[in-house]
Amino acid sequence: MFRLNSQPSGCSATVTIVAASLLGIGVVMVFSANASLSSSPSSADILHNATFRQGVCAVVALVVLLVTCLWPYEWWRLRRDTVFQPAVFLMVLAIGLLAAVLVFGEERNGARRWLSLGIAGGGLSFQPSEVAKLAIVVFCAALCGRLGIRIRWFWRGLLPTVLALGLVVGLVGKEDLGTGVLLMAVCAWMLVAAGAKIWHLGIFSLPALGGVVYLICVARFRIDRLLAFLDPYADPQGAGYHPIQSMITIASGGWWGRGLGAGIQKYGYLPEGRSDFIFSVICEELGLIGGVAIIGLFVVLMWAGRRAMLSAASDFGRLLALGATLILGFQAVMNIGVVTVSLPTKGISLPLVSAGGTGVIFLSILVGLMANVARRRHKEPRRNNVSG
Amino acid sequence: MRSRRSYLAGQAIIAVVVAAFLGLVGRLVYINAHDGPQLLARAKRQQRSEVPLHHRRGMIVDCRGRILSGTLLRKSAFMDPTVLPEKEDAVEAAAGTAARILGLEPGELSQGFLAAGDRRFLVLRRGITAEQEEHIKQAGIYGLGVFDEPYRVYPMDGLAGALVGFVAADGHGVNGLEYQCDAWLRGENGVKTIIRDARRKAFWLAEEGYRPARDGFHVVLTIDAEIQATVERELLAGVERFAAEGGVGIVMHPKTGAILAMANVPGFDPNDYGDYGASLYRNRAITDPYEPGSTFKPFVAAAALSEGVVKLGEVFDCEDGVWKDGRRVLHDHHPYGLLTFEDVVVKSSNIGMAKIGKRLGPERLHRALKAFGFGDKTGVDLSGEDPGMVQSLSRWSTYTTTSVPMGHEISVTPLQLTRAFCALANGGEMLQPFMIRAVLAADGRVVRDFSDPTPRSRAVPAKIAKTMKDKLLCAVVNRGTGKKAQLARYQVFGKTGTAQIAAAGGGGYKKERAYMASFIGAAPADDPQVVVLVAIRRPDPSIAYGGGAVAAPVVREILSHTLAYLDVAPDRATASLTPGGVWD
Repeated sequence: MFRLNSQPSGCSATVTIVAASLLGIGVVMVFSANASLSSSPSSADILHNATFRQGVCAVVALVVLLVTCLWPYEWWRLRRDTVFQPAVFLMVLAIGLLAAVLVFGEERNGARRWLSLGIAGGGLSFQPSEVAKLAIVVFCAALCGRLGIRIRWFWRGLLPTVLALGLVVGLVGKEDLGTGVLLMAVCAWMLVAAGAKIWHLGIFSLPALGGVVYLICVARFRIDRLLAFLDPYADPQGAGYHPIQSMITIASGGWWGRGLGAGIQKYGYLPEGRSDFIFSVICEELGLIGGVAIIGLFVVLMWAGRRAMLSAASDFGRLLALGATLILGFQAVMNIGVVTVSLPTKGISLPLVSAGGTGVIFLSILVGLMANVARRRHKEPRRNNVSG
Repeated sequence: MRSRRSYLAGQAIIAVVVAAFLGLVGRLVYINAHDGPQLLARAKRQQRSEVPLHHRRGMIVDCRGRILSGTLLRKSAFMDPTVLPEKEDAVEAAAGTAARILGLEPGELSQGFLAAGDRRFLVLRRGITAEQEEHIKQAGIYGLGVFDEPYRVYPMDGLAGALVGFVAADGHGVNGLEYQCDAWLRGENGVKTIIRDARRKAFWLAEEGYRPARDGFHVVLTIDAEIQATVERELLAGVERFAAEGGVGIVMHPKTGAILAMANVPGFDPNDYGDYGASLYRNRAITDPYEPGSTFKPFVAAAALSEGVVKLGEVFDCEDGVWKDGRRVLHDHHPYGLLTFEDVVVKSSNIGMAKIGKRLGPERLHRALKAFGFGDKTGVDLSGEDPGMVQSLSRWSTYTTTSVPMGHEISVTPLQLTRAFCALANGGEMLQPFMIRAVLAADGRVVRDFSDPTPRSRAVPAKIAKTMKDKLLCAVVNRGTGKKAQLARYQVFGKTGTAQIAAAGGGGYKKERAYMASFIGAAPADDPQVVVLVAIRRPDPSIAYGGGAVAAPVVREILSHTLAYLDVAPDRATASLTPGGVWD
């Protein structure tokens, strides 16, 4: 399975370098945003120090990325006549974790998204929805690659696929609507790219939309956030607080920024400064120029994802590259959209940059898969393309 | 076909994502360019607060730099009631503790906290002890604190109180020089801009929001605290000795117009100004004109000499003390027959002066009054000056011409009288009296220098002034009504005055014999260094009421001390230098 003879392509190097840059910027910015006068760092709870954790996770993520990059992505494809199906295992694991989080999960900020690892885990916690992102992309790509033309069949092709994916999306979306919508959009577009009939997908769009509307209506805070998005100044101390503070933070940086570490908003004004709103902190400290640079890195990642997709040797590879690219792209757009108040507030982090170990590591696997597809172009045996 | 669609779909969606990214760049630019100013203003409001840096009020010092009024810092307790929990029992608990430490009424304090509204700075008690400060720190009540508060001190207590005035609790001068020089004495508060975190904790100073406080300017007076103290002491002794209502004393330098002392008795202590009646705040030397009586005679005599209507040695018939002029009968205190012109002044004959006035006539007399500065403000650099009263010529009656020469039908302030006397002492020049010598910045730089006020005019020719001084005014002291002003080592010259105090509202004199006993004098005669006026109001007539008896000894004491203090060379050989008489 290990075939190291394939030539590394410039594209995979680009992906790796861009991802490593984002991870590095993430660690630095988490360090900066972590600065606060109320907490002084002490060696005793270094495990709880966001900067330390982010640094360790970034290193782990980089290693994982390189391993994934080298480990042929074909390993993930659905196989014939065997029960060893890594993509299915991953999917089952994700479903299991999502179910577990519903039962045992810790509630933070009104959402049940974290699984505590308890004392054995050093008091760390784990976000199953990040696993779901990886699982759903790998599973969807593998299944569509396996189904091939049969995805155009409704009863024996599309419907089971959508049901399997929908289960995960639903489980995620129940607690984390933003990520649910993200996964739904990625899956839908992967199915389109896989060749599913558009009107078949149209049938599923109705229950999907209904589900989203239902989830918005059952949670009061989602309606508040929606209203706050429309007019943040109506309740500047309540639901409008996040959007207003985020915009203040962005505007404080001006064109060139206050300078790295010199931000003020992070001292308690901007909530979630090192996770969901880290982009605002970047804008305050590094200026518009810094924000544009981050966006530029993501655009480069999109461009590399597109090249990986175009050069992929198989449908599976192509869908994998597309799925990975879309997860990163959509998530980044949604995050920056939220912090610039272009979209309603949701708990979506900036991929690879925001504090959050699970997200960084599992998104790195996706990036690694993308790079893997890029560097293994046209090296695939022809048969995979046919039987795929 | 299927592959083509996957290529197309993939490329299309990636293009959409890239377009979205570009849109977000646009959004960032929009936030900065369009919403920027408003958002930055909001950021400033929530992150920054301006804290005043208090300035220090300037000092008032005498001509030798002795501090008459200065500013010290003391600890005061304040409370920010807005940080208290909005529960009545919590407020009451905080108020109770604060009241116990500061010795205040707990009920009133909690009422004050509840009624404070948005006010974040309530001064609970000014000037607390170090012990109380320690208790406040130990109590740890959120919102209760101690700050350095500047407060005004008058280290010389009541010295020159009416001159210096005082400052209200809010730091504004409300009286005297404190009020008048407020613009100089007040500095400018500075400001520092504190950057706070969301818990309102300060953690940084904004570089651009810092302006240091400018301390107030110091005002340097021409007053000499030593001379002022002498005047106040002697004046008070005189007032007490004759059971008088009060008195005014002025010491002026006859060559420059600098006021060396200006005293009001009884005075008040600006440190505790609230303990005194408001009438004591008045600087009567400039605010209260009075009928000068005989002290006014030298000026009319000088005018008569300079107009040439009388000659030295000319004899006047003083009618044995009773003279009917028209329908009015004039009296002298002592009846005199024939007196020379000099003796009319020396013996202070009203009848003689009336005849001299008649010779001058109303026009020349009025012109002379104006030349000596009566009826006009002196322009001294003190506020609240009264111009006195000289009737305009058109309103003079037939008796005015004879009343004015003996100091009636006219009112002058003590300062006007002193200034006019300076002209006789200095060779006829009218000076601009002044009290503010200079204004200094906190670092000692001279901001304003007033030590040479220019406006001068001539009242009488120098020769006439010298004649007045040598022939008439020295004689008043040597052999006339002012003998009690004599000094052994200095030739004193001057003039007594005993005026009846006119009833309020005009129309004659009170029956109860209220007098203003005054003496104006200077020494040494060959080169006068100081002019001293003492006017004692309402001495008890059963003891004495004449200017020569009541005021002249006070002037003598003041001259004696002042000339010695100023190291003025004696101009008289003393017959005997007794140990006790060295300083006479």
